[in-house]
Order: sequence, then structure tokens, then C-alpha cells
Amino acid sequence: MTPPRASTAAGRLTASMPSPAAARSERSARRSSQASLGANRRDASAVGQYTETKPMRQATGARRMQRRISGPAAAGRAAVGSAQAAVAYIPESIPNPVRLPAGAPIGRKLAVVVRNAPDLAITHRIAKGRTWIGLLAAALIGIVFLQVMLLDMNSGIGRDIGAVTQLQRDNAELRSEVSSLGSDRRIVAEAQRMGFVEPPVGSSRFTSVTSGDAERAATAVVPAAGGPDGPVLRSLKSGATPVSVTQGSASVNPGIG
Amino acid sequence: MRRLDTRIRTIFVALAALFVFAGARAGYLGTVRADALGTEASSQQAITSKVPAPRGDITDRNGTELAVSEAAVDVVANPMIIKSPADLAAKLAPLLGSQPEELLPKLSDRSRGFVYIARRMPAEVGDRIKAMHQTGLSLEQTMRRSYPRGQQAGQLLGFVGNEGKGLSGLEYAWNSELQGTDGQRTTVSDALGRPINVADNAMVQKGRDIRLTIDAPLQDEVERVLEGVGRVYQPKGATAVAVDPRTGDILALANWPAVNANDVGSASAYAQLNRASGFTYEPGSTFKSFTISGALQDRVVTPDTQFDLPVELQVGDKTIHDAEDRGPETLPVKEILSKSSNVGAAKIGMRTGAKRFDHWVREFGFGSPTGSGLPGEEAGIVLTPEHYSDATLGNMAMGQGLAVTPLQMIQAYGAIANGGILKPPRLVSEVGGKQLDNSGGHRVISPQTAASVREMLKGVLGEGGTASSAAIPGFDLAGKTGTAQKVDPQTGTYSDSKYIASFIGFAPASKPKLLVAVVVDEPTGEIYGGQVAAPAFSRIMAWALPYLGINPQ
Repeated sequence: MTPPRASTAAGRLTASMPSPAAARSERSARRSSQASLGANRRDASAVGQYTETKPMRQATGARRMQRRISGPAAAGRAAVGSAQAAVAYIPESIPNPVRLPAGAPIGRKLAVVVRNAPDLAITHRIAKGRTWIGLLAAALIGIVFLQVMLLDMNSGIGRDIGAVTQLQRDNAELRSEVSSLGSDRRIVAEAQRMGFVEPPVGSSRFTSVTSGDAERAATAVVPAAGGPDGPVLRSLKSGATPVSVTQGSASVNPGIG
Repeated sequence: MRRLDTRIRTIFVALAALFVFAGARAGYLGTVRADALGTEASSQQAITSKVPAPRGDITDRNGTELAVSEAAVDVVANPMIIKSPADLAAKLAPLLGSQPEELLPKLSDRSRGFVYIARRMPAEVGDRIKAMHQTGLSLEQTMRRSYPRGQQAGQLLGFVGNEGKGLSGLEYAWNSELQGTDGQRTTVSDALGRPINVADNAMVQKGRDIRLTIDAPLQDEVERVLEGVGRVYQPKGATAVAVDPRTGDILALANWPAVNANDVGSASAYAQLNRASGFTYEPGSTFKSFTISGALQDRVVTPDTQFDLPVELQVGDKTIHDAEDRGPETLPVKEILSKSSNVGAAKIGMRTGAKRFDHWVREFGFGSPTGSGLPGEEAGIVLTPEHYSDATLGNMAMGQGLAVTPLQMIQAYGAIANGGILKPPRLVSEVGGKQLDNSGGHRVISPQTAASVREMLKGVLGEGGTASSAAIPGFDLAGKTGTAQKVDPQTGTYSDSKYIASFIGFAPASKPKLLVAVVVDEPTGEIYGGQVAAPAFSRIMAWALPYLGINPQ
């Protein structure tokens, strides 16, 4: 019988550097062992043989003993051997779990869960397989991602502070501008430049303006005959009742303003 | 296969050697050079800077900004590392609004590593300088004070120095409230200079806002009127104050010549003076109201008490006579006031007596500052009775021989207008959003006495009064003219050419809501209060009364 290629290749390799073929063979054997795990575990439970975890090296040795031989397979014997190997890898449950009474404080419960974690089946399964590589990679990528996010957020805060400073600056300048534009002196000077004349001393009167006064005043203004309705007047009148255009010069209802 | 293994081993060894080298280098940088590199990195990446605190805003009673803080920069140079000072001076000059020749000495002084090129420049200028990326130039963030209305209330508001402290006016008087607390910020930047971490080590605290009792439109109008007085009479200076006598709130306080608060340095020392509180003068006839108020309150006289008035009255070494020539006449107290008789006022003062007269002078607030809060407020000069000469009482009764400020006069007239209760004038109504207490004040004369004096003062603007031309049809005005000689500092005697013309009045006379004083220092051409100051008063009242909702009857 020709020995398998894998074992031939493995023989050439040093202990520290297994050949790809040997590794493939090893992985294949491990997969077949895991595939039968469920059934084996069930069997093991049924016969009550589940006792304790064995070292991996021993498990490998056990698997070697189950080498396929000629002739019909001895189903019962192979199944029991396989089950023994599997339970040696992955415990069904924690051997001696610390159990707490139902009313124990939640902090203590948490401590027990953490303490039991290394012995949990899921931990063993993850540690034995390659999933942890993915998990570790994801965790590392996550950490890097979070760091980048943090930097990005800080950078955003820096930009926002700059924007706030700029807005405060603009706001101060605008308030200053509004104040200077509202100066009576400036308005009077501007009015004079436009040809307006100040009324005689003592003839000025002030009215208190309430909301809607401008609109009512605008509706009272009647454009000159044939004259265009200016944009300001139109905007003031928007939404107001239609204005009747009459012949004659512009006039204001004396009751307003 | 053997060749392949050799190659793999070679690569492995090479990689291992690289790792060893990298590890050794990292160890060297992380241990031997750790301190130096750490310092260098923090100086390049982490910058701790001051965040300048804006001063509080100063607004008028309606919230119109009169003084605001804006972001600014100080431009700093390190001449030691500037390669071409002349080129830099040429580039900077247009941005800073100066000449290259002015900047060049500062930029080329290589003995110094720090020199201010310009201070409190607008932030936009800072942005442009930053964009130059010039070695040896840096910017320090700061704040600059801006007065959006330029000349409005310049002397009143004052100004702020380069160190951000108020140096005059309200900026000085309320500096502790207006000044904020600077913050401190550490900014960590990446290699491209973009901030990646900003931490405020100390939060910046803005100064408290101050709301004045000043009404900006009325202030504008009063300043315009004073400008007109300045144009027509070319005085040395003039001041006008408008007050609500019911509260003591100063609604307008103007000085001429005006000063641009944004450029105080260009104004003369005299122009910078707030004459309403820092200028003392002999009030002249405007003071007669208090002589008569005291006499009425002491029941020494009534409004109808008749006085025989000679052409001249000899009091000690002084001969008193009226401004206008007249023969001997008999006048009641009310006409003595409306016609402003010096002889009559002196006789009333002497009837009151020195001790009681001094009591009333001080009771009306003369001889001590009003407490308006304005810096440099003068107390005036009021002699005590022990220091009176034979002429003093007669002289003081007609408003000479004592020195007062326009603000003291306004305060004292406020008592007459306010039914006898004297309220200190106030300029600030709110600090940091909190209303200031305005319950101060005390009764000086009875409401009846105050009403009697108000009635007498109506006659000043009536037919035959000294300010009849200042009357405004439809309005019930009352007031008093004043024309006082100034003391010539050369001779120590009263000058024949230098006068102070003044007018103080209120409206409506029966229930005053507005009190206005106009004081003109050394007018030329006309000298009398009725001719110089009363028309200005009239103009202010004609605008202000309708503005305040007091329409003609």
C-alpha cells in the first residue's frame, strides 16, 4: 500500500516547518474529526463517558490510532474512539462551575461569569478554530477606526470652534454696522443728499408704529395717474386688499401715519 | 529547491535585520532623544494660546450699540529672522494703513526678537497678513473696541487703551464690569497645521454689558444742536444735558467740540473733557432759582413779597447792579426771578441769612459730586459761611462766587422739577442684565415751594422774560437764563470779554418730564444766555418733547 502523499511529504519536513501538503492533511483530519463531533458528543453523553479534557498532543495520537484499515469499517469502535477524541478538545460545559445562589449580587455574578469564561465551550471553540483571527482583526480594525473617528471628530470640533469664532466676529461687525447705519445723523445726511428738507423746528411729530401700519399705509397710497406702481409699494401691498387706482396725484389717507 | 530556500532565508535575514534596526532606532528616539523630541513636537503641534475676552457692550436705553468689541490682531515681528525688511515693509504698509518708512526701522532692528508692528488691527487685516506666510511675522489674537456711532457721546463713553483697559469716560469708570476674563486654549495640530484637538484650559468670560440711560436718537439731536451753536457762536466749548427729572436718568449728554471715540488721540485735551461733570463755572443767574427756593421754603419771602430795588446795591466792597439799565423799582419775588434782577436776588439772599443760605446751597447738592459715576467729576467750590466776606452772600445769591458743574445744576433743577425731591443723575440703568437700584433721592423743598418756583420760571419764557424768544407755541415751558462773567486767570478779576451763557429749563412746566441744560463757554458775538443758550434749549425741546410722546396742547 502506497503511503499517503501527505505523510511522505511530512517526513521530509522539519518539526518547525510543516510542508503545505502535510498541513492540508492535518486540517483535513481535523475537519473530519469536528464533523463527527455532534454525533460523537451525543453518543458520549448517552454512555456517560465524558470525563475530562485531554491534552491536544494526546488527542492527535488518538486520531492517528484510528487510521483507516482494510475491510469493512468497524462502525461502533470508530464512533466511540472519535467521540473520545472530540470531547478531549471541547468540553460540553465547565467542569466545576462556580454557582451562586439566585439572590447573589449582580457584581458577583458578573465576576463569576468572567472567571468561568476561559472554560466555556464557546471560548474553546473560538480559540481552537480560526474565527478568533477574524475577530482579532476586526477588533484591531475597529480600534484603528475608532481612533480615526476620534481624530476626525476632534478635527471637526476644531473646525467648529473656528467657525464659531468667525461667526462671533461677523456678528460683532454686523451689530456695529447696524448701529452705525441707524444713526440719525447718517439718515439725515443721506436724506439731505437725496434732496429732502428738514421740517421747521417744532413741527416734527412722532407716531408709534405697530405691526400692520406699513401695510395699511401702503394700501392708502394711490399712485399718480398713469404712474408705475413701484417695487417697494408693490411689496408692501402684497397680501393687502386691492387698491383702487384713481386719477390724480398720489395721496395718503390722513387717518394713517 | 535549495536555491529557493537560500533566497527565503536571505529575505528573512534581511527583514530581521531591518526589524532590529528599526527597533534600535525606535529605542534611541524613544529614550535618548525622548525629551528633546517631545519638547520639539509639543511646540510644533500643541500651541497654548490666550483667548481674548470681549469687553461688555455699552448700549443706549433701547439696546442700540454704542460700544462693541470686535476681533482684532496685534502684528508682531521678529526682526532677527526677517530676511528682507524693506520688501516686507513695502508689503505690510498698505495693509496696515501706514508708510513703509514708518515700518522699516522696526522691521530692521536686528537687536530685537519681538516688536509690535501694529496693534488692534481689524481681523480681516490679520487674515491677509496670515495669507502672506511671511517668516518673522506673527499675529496675536486680541480685541479692539469699536464705537459704531463715531462721534456720538465720545467724551461720555471714553476710550480703551492698547492693553484693553478703559482709560476715560464710562469705559474707565465701569472697567471692572466691562472687562472680561481671558481664556486659555491648547490646540494640537496635525502635520498640515489642521487642528485635531482643541481643549479649553480656561473658559473665556465676556465682560458684562452695560445699558445706559442715554437715548441715542435724542443724543444725536442734542449733538446736532450743539454743533449749530458751535458754528454760529464759535465758543471755546459747549455742553448740553437732557434728563428725565422724575428718575434722574440722563437721556443725552453732549459736548462740543465732538470727539471721535474711535480716534481720541487726534482730539485736544480740552475736547476730550466731559464738561458736564468735569468743568466748573460760576452759574450766574441760573442759580437765583435756589436762592429764591430756600427763601420760600424758610418762609422768609412769598412769591408776591415786594422788594424795593435800587439801581445799585453796595455789598461789602462790591457794587451790584442789574444787567440792563433801569431806574429804582419795586418788584415782587416772582418778577425778580423772571427778570433776573441781580439786586433783587442779592437782597433775598441777605434776608435768608448766611447760615440758612449755605444750608440750601448744600441741600441742593452743590459742593459735592452728584454721584453720577462719571470719572473725574468735580465737586465744585462752595465757601462755608465762616469764610464769607461782607460781599460773599450777596454775590453768591446771584450765582457768582461759587463754582458748580452743569451736572450739579441739572440735579438741583431736577429737584424743583420733581416736586422738591432731588434725585442724583444716573447714566447706567443695567449691568449684566440686572437693573440697578434707582430708589435714591431725598426731599429738599416742599411740593408747594417747588410748584411756586416752577410757576415763576414759566415767566422767564413769557412776555417780558429774559428768554421769551425761546418759547415754543403749544408747549408749557419753564426755565432760567444765565450769563456769568469768567474770572480772568491773568488778573484774578472778572473778565469783561469772557462769559458763560447758559439756560436750564423743563417741560411741561406743571408736570415736568424733560429737563435740559445748555452751557456755552465763551461764546463770541452774543454773550447772553437768552440769546445763545436759550434758542439751543428751544430746539432740543421742540424735537424731544414730541419724540417722548409729549405733544403740544
